[in-house]
Amino acid sequence: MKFVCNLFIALFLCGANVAFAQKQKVTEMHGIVKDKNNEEILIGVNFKTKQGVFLNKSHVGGRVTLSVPRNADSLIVSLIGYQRVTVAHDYFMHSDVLLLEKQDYYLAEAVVNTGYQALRPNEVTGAVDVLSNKMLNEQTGTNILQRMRNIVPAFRYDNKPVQNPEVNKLNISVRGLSTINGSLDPLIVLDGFIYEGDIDNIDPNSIEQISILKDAAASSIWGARAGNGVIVITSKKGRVNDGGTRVSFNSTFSIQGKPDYQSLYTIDNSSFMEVEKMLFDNGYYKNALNTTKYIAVTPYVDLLDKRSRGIISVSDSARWTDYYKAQNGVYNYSDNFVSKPITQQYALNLNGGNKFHTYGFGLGYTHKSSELGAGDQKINIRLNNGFRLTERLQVDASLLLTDQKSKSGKPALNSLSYSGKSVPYMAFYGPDGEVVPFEREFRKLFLDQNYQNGYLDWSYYPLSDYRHSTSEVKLREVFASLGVRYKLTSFLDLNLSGQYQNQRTDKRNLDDENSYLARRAINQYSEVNQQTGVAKYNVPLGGILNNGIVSGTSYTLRSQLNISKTFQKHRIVGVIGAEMRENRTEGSSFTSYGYNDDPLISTAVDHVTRFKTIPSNTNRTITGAPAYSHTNNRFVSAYANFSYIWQEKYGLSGSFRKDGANVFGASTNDKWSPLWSAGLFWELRKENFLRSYEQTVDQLKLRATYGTSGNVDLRKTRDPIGTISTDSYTRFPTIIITSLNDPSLRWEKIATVNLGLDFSFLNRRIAGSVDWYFKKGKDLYGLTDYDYTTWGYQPTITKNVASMQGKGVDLVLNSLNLNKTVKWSSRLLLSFNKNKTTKYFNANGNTLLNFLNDGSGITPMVGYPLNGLGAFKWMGISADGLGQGVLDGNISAEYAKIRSSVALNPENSESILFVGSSKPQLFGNIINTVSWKNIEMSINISYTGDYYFRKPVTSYANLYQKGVAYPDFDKRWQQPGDERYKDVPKMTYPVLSGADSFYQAADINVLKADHLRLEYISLGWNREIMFNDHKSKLMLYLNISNLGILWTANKLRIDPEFPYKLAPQSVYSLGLKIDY
Amino acid sequence: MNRLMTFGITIVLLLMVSCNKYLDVKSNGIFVVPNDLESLQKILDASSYINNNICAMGEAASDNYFLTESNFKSLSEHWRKFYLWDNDEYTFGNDWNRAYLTIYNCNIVLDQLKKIKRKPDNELLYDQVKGTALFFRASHYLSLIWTFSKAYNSATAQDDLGIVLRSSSDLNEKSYRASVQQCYDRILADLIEAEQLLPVKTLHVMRPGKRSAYGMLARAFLSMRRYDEALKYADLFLKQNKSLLDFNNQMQVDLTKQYPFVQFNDETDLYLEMSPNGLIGQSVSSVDTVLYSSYHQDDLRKEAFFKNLSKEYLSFVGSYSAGTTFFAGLATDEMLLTRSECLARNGRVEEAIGDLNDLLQTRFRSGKYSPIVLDDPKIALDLILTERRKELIFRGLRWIDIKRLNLEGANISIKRRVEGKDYVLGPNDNRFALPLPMDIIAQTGMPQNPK
Repeated sequence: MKFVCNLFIALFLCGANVAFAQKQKVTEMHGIVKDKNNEEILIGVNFKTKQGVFLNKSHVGGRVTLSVPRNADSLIVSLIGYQRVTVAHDYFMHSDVLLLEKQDYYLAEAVVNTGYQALRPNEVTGAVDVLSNKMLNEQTGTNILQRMRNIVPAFRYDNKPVQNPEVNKLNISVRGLSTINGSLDPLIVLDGFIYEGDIDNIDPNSIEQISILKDAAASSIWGARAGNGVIVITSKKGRVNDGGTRVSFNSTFSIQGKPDYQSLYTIDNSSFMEVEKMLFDNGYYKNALNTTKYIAVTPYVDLLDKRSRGIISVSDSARWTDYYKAQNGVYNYSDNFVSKPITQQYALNLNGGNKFHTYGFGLGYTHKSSELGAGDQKINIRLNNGFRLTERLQVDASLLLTDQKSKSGKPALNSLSYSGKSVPYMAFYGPDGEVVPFEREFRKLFLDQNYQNGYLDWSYYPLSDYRHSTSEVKLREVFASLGVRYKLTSFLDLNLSGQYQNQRTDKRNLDDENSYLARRAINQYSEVNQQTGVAKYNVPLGGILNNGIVSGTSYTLRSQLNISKTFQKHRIVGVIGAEMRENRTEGSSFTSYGYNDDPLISTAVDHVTRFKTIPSNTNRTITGAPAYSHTNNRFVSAYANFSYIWQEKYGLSGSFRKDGANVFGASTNDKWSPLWSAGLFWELRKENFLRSYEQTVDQLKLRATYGTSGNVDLRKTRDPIGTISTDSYTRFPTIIITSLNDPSLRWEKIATVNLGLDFSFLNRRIAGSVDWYFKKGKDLYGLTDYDYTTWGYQPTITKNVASMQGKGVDLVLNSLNLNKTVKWSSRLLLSFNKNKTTKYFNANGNTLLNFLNDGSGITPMVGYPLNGLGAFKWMGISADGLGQGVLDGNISAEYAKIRSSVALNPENSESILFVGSSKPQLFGNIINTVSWKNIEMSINISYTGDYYFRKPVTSYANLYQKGVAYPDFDKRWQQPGDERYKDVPKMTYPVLSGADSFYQAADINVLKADHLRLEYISLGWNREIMFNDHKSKLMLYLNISNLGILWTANKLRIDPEFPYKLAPQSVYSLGLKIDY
Repeated sequence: MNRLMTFGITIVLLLMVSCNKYLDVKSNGIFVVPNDLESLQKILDASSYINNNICAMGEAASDNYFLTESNFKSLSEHWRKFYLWDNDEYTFGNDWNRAYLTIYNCNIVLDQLKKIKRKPDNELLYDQVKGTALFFRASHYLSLIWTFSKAYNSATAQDDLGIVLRSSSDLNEKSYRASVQQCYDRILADLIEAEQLLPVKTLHVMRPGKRSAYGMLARAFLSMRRYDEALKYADLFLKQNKSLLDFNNQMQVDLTKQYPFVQFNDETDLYLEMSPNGLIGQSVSSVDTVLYSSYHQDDLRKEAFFKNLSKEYLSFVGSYSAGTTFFAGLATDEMLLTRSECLARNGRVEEAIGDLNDLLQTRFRSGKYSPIVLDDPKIALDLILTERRKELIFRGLRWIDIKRLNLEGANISIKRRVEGKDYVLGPNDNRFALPLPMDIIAQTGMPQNPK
């Protein structure tokens, strides 16, 4: 009925299309301009004559009224983001509707998806970046975050390992930090709902578009967890009036170079063995060899000990020593364990739709094998359907399924150590080619003497053991959503939607009966009667199976009204709604002993009795009794977000949100936190004073926003919270107070100001945006030292003690430098971010001594960046080989006194200095794309700068304990006179207290980290082919990533992101894509 | 359409109304706010947070052991300085925080108890919980004051620096050092109250009973040199039960095993353990050679307490924990020796020697022990004190014994020899009150013990 009505109106209007306005020598015409794709009415369209004269026009309810001069022969119609068209001057005399096609470049950028609503770019006041499908396909990673790397401003990927997995899983930051101890991850939203699953489950090949909400106005709609930015991911779907089914297939094959273990520094064997000999002679191992005799020692120390006890002959000892000397440990490792990582990806997507039904189907398959042979395969299935049941009612359903299986590989290099000490002469075979057992924990000599008869083989054989100790993880995820949209009136939609997600992970860790771990456990718990030789196996013979199941379920129910109303010069777009959300995890684990797969068997064990275990003689229970976990976080939110736009020229936006959470032990009031934001924009181009530049300026839009966001840590509460446990001695149920009762805890508050400018000139030859922001966090959770007489459980406690501020600028500049047969475009991303602590209670004193760590964690100190590096002033080496600093104006090697002088006089100590931030404060990328005919090439170079890193240097304590050293070891002071040109202190035994740490913290070892890196080169070739009378597109692409460092500020050319560590090797990917 | 709109709005309203109930769900299955008697008992059953935080620094500063030159060198500076009674720069991760962790847990229990009504149907559990909390708080106060303050001297106790008495679990209550007198007053009052509340029998030696309160009171009074009261409580303790381990009985003491004793053995009344300590661990410390040679060759303690772990010197393996940790709880042997000492000081030599004979009878090889016969109180006392040291080695008692005996004029000093240099801690030296952690001094502004 409604449809007929519309048709009638349209027909009527068409008939009344033309009116003459004789006086002005112009013809007045009416018409509607629509998007060719979705038939949406477009406003703000410009019309001009061929001569460049703009026409007067006015909009009423989407209809445009034009005054066309009679002498005009044709009209040029333009709108940002759409392809320009030229039509006859009397076009609207003959037809009512003009369809505009989107510019390729802008196809995806046309919509900003906040997850709650899709906005046009010109309705947005906040700072938002949109990534199109094309941009996401520039790289070939299997994780969506990998695909976003290097192409988004303000996004920083950290190469350092995650410091605190409880608050940081993704290891990326958007616009730096906004909290000190709260959660650091941006919020991930998938198809309109918060995504609680594993980000790895999302198949990047099925993603259409990503919007990144950076400031408070953009993100505050997502509430308390949005303080770190929001990444809104939209998966591919069928479109209305798509025509037939579009089929797209792609396949990518990637191969990565073998990690270069030779690049890791190791001391040469002779020098290393000299050090071991020196330690042995000085009695360093005396205790280990005589008291804790069962603990493993390194092969050479083992030899020295056996020789000194006369267990082996001089010639045998010499033979083995020579053999070890000839070994290359990392080579031996690499040769036996490491291969080239390979990744394969396949994706098939089918999408289509007519006026009443849209559909999409996607199938993805990914297979990866790591350098250690660990395998990982993943299948993604996507299904979505949209039904337009009536003119007013639309139902959308979607389902994403993930099935992933991964298997463990060979042992990592760092797992191969002799009771924690690694050696450069590591060997897996003996001089006669025989396999040598690796003494990882226990000393073979002792075990053979004491625990041989009646026991299983104690030895660890790394070359084959990984086949017997395997772990397998199976992951299954379902992400389903259903939305019902009902058009209440022409401007009001009611949306009811829901989402359900379940991810189940099954871990299965099997150490079969031949594995080292199973044999070890059986031996440790056996009681062998030395007289009779009869063994009692408390851990039964057979394998050990560890099972772990974690299941996470989340759901959201949402009810929302969408408003979109245009009347005369005013437009209002907004949403108001409420939602409830639950995120529940359940876990269980248990261990089966005496396990065998075929025939299937397992045996019960006693988890209660404390058995005396050998060889350490400690009393222990058998681990692995069933354990369960259960968490349940619930949230309730009400929110509203409105934009008011006047004449497409001025816009105002505002949002409000109130979140409640089931904070345990909190009173009702503390469960709720209100957040709000406000913003405005001003399209300068539409002003009269810029009218004469209308030719050159396509867009010039100023934006300003202010907003607050909050943060609550559900673990931090006001009541004493106990954790249920079982006492290890009595097996009585116990409660341990793990969270201190602190009535003064509150929510964290973060306020953000953002000022932005969007610009576009010369018909988009130059376009981009600049955003300036300022963030202020207060009442932040801070760990502070306290009088632990009051509790004693831990050295620090959490309070709302901290404040911080952050500021920065994000710049995006796109330019089309050459637009001939050869097209050359550039995209420049530049982000500047600085932060500092403005308030923090530091009971250890506000001294720079706090900054002597490696800078990877947050060190809150008032007036300084959150991640920073300090250093002792270095005064060279003394004549007897000791590192020197400054103490009360004099050169000194009294390290403890230097430290205490700094502690006593933190303000202006000459002994210590603050060097700078340890996280990049300026970073960006430049992407140059050149295309010629159907070949396209992109090169992405990144710059990371304005930060410092601590060069790893040798600590003699570490060398003695763990066998770790760095290249400076070769440059150490060895004889008088060396101090004139060397900067590395001498090796001492016993370790001189404070010397290692003083030298490590010396200013000579803090280097500027700025560097340029060639991130990737990608090459594409595409061609249109006719296939069964169908226009199809074939594309071949090659991507090479991790091409290495181009330039470093430090003269040693150390990669500041991977100093003396394994840097990721180049990945070569080759792919094929067919669109049909 | 209107119906649908009404439906939508109703849903929104329903959401808003029911959400507070919706948010009352527990966010983690293992969380619990301890607010009933059963939960409070569970807090007191967590042995690592209650029983096993007795201070070990005193034992580490005492004379039962020494470090060989190479072991000394292999230690970090932190422990090397401790060994020479010269570490006032240590921070968290020490006896102080561990003992106060027990005290906090006891205070949480006592605070939560105030919110629970004592009724006829819960009075047994209520009293047990309250008595247990008071008992453990007092025991750890006692351990702290032995370690960090001078020995009790009635003449100066009003002015001597004690430890911090925490009267509640409130974090915001400021810490200050009470006087030694105030501390002992508190300890005695708590123990006397606990004695009235605690049950006679308990489920496990991890839980204190009435007898444990007697034992702890005897310990406290002995360390205050109030021998009559110490005698009274040791006697009460022994009257309930005076079973001793027979070292000849392989079921009780298996000399062939690396650790000859059984944990929770018959002699143990209450199980407490010392905090870990880097100096006295058996892989590091060697037993004082003079002390070792003072055991008679038929004294089975020589085999039960010490083992040669293949180094030049012997290591202590005789803890009632039957492992590497150090038992510091209440046992019959200690109470016998305490009663014996108090009797001797009281001139009741025959009874005193009787107790001593009872003990040693079980320690010597069967048939090899000839009971002592003595009537000189002075000689008897010396003998009893020697046996006390030999029996109660590494029990956390030696430090306070040296301190109190020096106040009696025993003139005991501790000597250490390191790298050819001698270090001596003379009788009644200030350093017998070990320094408090540096960060605690910095946080609270409390006075540090003088060197």
